[in-house]
Amino acid sequence: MAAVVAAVNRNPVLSLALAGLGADLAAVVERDHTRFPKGAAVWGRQEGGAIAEWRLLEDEDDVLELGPAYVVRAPYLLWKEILQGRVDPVQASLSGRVKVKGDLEGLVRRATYRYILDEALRSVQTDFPDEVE
Amino acid sequence: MSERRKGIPEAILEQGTRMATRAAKAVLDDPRGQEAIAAAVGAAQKGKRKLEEVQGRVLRAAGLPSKGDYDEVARSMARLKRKIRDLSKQVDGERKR
Repeated sequence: MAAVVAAVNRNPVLSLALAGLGADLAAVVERDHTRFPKGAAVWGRQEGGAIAEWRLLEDEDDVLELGPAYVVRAPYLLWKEILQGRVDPVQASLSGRVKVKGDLEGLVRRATYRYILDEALRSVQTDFPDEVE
Repeated sequence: MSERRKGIPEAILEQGTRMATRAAKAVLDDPRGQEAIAAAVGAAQKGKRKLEEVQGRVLRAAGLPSKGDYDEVARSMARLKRKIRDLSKQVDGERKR
């Protein structure tokens, strides 16, 4: 996660992509009884055109206390497909497969910047818990 | 092989989903299409917010809790849960000393 955040922060157009968006975001990986029973949640805050702070949340309910500007929630397998580039996150949000709480309009308007995250993800090796022996 | 095993409704649904995905991609790849979708999403979200405001006012007038009230309770419970977790850790730390 730290490597992805560092790669995202290195992108020179990141400040343009983040301008006008809410201050913070939480991403929730919903529990999958067989593949990812614990679930996971991560929270990040932007400041000065970069991700200034992030942390893995110990409990998914911590999202309720933090009350971030955006909450993006999806099942484990869907996150996996997004991370592997097999599913477009914007289309998945519009179809309701990915649930977005917050200003979805602002996120759709910045859809052209999604390559920043795609590039950052490609630069880091991702191990999926259901593939680790 | 797998195509042959599927029923006609499933095949139609799958084909429809594929076509809709292709259409959505074409629209999103065009800046004007992206702008149109963003505006439509914005209008829908604004409408939903208005509806929730009205619902909240009606519920409050009837002396019933609104969505905002439930959200506030959920937030307080999450805060309490986190504080209990922090205290448990503190107690465990003290015990280990």
